[in-house]
Amino acid sequence: MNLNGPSPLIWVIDDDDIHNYVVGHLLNMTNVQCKSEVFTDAIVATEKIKKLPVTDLPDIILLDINMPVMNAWDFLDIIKTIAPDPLPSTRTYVLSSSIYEKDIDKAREYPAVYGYLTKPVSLTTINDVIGGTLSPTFVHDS
Amino acid sequence: MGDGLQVKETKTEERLQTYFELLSRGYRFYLFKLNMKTPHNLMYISPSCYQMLGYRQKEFYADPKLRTKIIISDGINNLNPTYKYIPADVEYVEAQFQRKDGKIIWVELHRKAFYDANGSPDFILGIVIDSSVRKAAELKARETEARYEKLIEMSPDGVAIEKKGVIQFVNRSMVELLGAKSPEEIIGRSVCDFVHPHYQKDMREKIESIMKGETQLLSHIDSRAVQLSGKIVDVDASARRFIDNKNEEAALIFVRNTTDKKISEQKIRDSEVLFRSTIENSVDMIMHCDKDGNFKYVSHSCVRELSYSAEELAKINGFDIIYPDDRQSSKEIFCDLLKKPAQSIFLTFRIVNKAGEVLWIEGTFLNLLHVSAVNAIVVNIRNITERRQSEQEKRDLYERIKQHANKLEQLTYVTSHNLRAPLANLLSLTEIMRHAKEENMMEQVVDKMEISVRRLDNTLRDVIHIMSLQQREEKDWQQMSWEDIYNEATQRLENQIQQSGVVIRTAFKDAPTINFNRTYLINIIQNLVENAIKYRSPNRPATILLKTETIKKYTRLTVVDNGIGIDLKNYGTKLFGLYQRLHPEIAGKGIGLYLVKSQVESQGGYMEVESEPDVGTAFYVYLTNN
Repeated sequence: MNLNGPSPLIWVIDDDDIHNYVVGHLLNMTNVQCKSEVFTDAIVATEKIKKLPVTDLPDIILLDINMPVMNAWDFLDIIKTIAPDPLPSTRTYVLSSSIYEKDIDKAREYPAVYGYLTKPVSLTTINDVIGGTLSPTFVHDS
Repeated sequence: MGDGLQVKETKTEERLQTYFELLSRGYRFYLFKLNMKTPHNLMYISPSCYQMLGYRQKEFYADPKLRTKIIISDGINNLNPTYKYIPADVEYVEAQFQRKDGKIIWVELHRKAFYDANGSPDFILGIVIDSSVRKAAELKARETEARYEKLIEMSPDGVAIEKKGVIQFVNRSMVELLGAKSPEEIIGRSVCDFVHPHYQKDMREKIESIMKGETQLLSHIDSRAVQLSGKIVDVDASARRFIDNKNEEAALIFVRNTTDKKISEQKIRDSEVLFRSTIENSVDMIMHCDKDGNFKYVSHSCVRELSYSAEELAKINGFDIIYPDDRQSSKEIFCDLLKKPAQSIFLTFRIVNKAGEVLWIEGTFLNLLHVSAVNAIVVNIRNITERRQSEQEKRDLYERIKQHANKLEQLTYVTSHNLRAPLANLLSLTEIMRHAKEENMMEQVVDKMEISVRRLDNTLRDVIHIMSLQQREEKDWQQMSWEDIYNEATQRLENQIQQSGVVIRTAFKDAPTINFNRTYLINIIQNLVENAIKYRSPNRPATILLKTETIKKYTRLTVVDNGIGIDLKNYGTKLFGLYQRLHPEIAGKGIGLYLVKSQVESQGGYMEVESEPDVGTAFYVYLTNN
């Protein structure tokens, strides 16, 4: 786990404004203080990844599945085309309200996805994600 | 008395003698006179003895023993003329004499004794006639008779001779036929004793007519005989009138036991009935046709299926009723079959029945031309039109079910997100609320909770609405004018139309009315127009055109705008997707087009779209007519 200085950078890619409020609230309460950036449009996130130097890339990405125009899978597919390993030191988690098995299976297919978090996400889980102490299981219910 | 009389007697005798000699010259007989007073004395023999026996007169006169010598065999009487017994009248004897050349001939000997004035035997006058011809004929007749008797005895048919109503003779086969052990059990009885009561009257009449001479010959009469035991046998009887060897009228009766034949005939009839009824009642069509395809026989189901009468079918050539497109290939396969005796082929093809309907047919053609009892191509086919239709219906049904299943899956997926998302948020918000310290934070949280709950509620409503779409039926359809519907739909969009300044043109002339579900149609127009307004271009004044036209069995509504367009290449599949929004900056739930498409498709129509980014978009809605 690569920390960007004392404050890890977390990107939240989700169009659900209410949920982004909730996550924002949680991130204020974490053990380790962190910086966060919210994208309601995944396309904007891909643009940024293309342009940013590696050092400025996020440590953690929390990726929602169901977003208009570009969803999680589209995002992950596009990322692969940017470079062979576009996010070398980033942990990407799918964070979704869906408990539909097909979504979970699909997430497994992407090696870039470290784990699957189901909403509502708890503070404990967020702390574990940031601290890198999340258990090795793929799916994490809160 | 005196010499005069004797002279007269001698003269008479001389004259008679001469007469005889003259007479006998041409005929095979001779006359002789034997002296009874001196027994061996041949007084006279006529010269014709030479023609008959080959011996001359003088040989007889010279040798008294010659007369005895020539006797080979005589009849009952002894021809030796030492007569103890003198025949009073003309005596007739048959004998065999040997001629001089050794040949033996049959003779008839007639003789009479004459007496003198005192009553004592004077002389015998006799005549010997060559009866060889007659005898030969007699022997031949007897031989023939013997042969016939043998034939009759050996005949496998029963033979009986009946005279005056009584059986005189039966052969062995007749004895067997009547179940007797010997002819004696039958001879002497009446013919009618052995005729079945039902047939007796008929038989009696027939025999009478024969005996009266009205008919000479009866042949092959079906009748029934009764054996001695009482058992009944079927018979075939013939009879004829004839004259027997006693010169009396008789009837010659021939009888054949046909019981077995009758039983097998009945079996054949039964099996024919069984077979025929099987074929006639078969649901399949069965026909026999000749090598050219003309019908020789058609079962009843053919009449039913093809609507032609049996008479019409008898004149039809099978190929004429085959559907034209299938004719050539059927003919080729048929001709190929003609070359293969005992082979069969399975064909699927179409027939046009009398009503002009096209029927799908499948079945077998079996070549039995080489079997003399059949001499036809045996066709066994069935009407599979319904089956094909129902197969097609099944396929259609399967498609529809698949589509439904897909839709349900889509719905499941979508609600899994769109229902759970606000719920998950609510859970988190309640958690946050517990820790909320400040007043206005509390208020913030409560606001967000409200939003989440409303989102939840809306999603549920959408889902319910989408689910209810499947159940709409045609009875909710009504005839409407596009103009009216358009006006009602755009009434609800008045504000947006005004604010946007969009110009809307309509062209409903080509198809002014439609028979459709009113609610749906209003929703469709409202949605498409609203989209056109929402996605207008900021670079130019917005215009929208609505047009209707009839294309084949559809009415097509076109909604064209000059807005920002859609990148169909990348996002075409998402256009009609549920909760798919391509321009998140523009407000919308993302179910508008999904609903429109569902509504259109649920009523048997479909949609198409053309678009170019920054040029405009055209939506085509195909609605089924009537």
